[in-house]
Amino acid sequence: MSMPMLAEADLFDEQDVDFSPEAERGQMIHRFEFAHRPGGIAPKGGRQKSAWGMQQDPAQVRLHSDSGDLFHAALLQHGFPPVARRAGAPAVDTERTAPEAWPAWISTNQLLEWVRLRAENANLRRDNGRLRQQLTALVASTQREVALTSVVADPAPAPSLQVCGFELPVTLSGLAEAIEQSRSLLDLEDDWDGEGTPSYAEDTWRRTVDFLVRYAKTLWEQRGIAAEDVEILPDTEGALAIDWRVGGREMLIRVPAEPTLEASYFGDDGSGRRKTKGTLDTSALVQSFVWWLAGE
Amino acid sequence: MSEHWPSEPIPNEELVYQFVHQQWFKKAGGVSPTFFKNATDPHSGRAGMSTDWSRYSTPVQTRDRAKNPAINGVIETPVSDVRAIPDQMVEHTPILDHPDPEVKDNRSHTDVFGPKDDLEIKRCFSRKCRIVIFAPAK
Repeated sequence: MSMPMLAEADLFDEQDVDFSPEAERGQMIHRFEFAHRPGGIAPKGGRQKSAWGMQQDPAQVRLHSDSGDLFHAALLQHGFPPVARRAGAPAVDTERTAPEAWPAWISTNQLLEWVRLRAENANLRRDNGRLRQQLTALVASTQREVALTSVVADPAPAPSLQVCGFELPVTLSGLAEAIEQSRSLLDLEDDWDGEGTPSYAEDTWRRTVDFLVRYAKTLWEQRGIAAEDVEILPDTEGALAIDWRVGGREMLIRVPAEPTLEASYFGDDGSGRRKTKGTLDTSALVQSFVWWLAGE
Repeated sequence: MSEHWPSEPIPNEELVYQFVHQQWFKKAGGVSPTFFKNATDPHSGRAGMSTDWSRYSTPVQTRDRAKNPAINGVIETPVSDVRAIPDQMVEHTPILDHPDPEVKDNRSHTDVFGPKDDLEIKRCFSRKCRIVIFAPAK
């Protein structure tokens, strides 16, 4: 049984909902405020203002609430994805401690993905409007105990795509399409353009896609940014290239045919500013490269 | 060998054309930065990127110089924009009676000399050019 999609209008008044990203101590807060209707999970005979949010830190968020946090506790009790403690935080005996007191450090993406699955919206990104709509539909439900219980009864596996032997989250369907289309480059023969450009090896293509998938998945998991405007391009000397536009930034990566050579890259903001260039081990994950793609 | 076609200075206001195989066109629009590269003339030993000067060629004539014109498009780039890319030099190099019989006479032939391996240079070229004849879809 999956969670029913709940109509916002049935659950709370629009004016009761306030969603606003705000800076607090230099960190971004996504705060959701809502008013309970009678019969909600925290009924007090009438409407009660409540709030919870995500505090970005920066790859982790903390769920917090200023209302005794019943929703927070419910999330933890009812199958919220793995809760990771922050490094150095004391261990908590979850058998003996009330859920309200549990630490709740979770990844931003886990939260977004969890909500996305329940809201049955395949296009969730870090878009405030849609996020608010989906979260408030979930949070404000007077039936949320039932809904959350159903999550436990029928935990939905994280959907993924398989493309050419690579596994991707469904949110990266645009990337999957680009990978699928790039397979045709392997059909080109030597001198395919009449200018002596050589053909491409399967191994080069696989290293190129593996590189791209690794960074795209990391960008999604760490920052909630989906790779959409990306293309694998032919290059000279058997090399392949990745042309990747993310936000206002453009990154060009060249993966050479020789596997022992590093990939070279050049990125900028599309008008020659915020330049970055260098070389990368195609089998590694360089965090600073992810940060640049994320615009940080 | 180009006694009858002297090398002329090319004003900044002029254009250069290049034929482009359909595979070099990006699905998102534009031409792949990786298209821009030098080729070494085995006879002169010089490495440059072949283009056609718009004074002596039309886009269609340029496309027809490709081995298979039916699957090629044409791009144009203002000479001033090419010269604005670091270390790039535009030089009129007309071809007449080339030692390689495969290479046809071409009064418009113009080389763009200068390094092309740097990805930043390639990106600059791809941003400066405009498509004047689209290649058929891949």
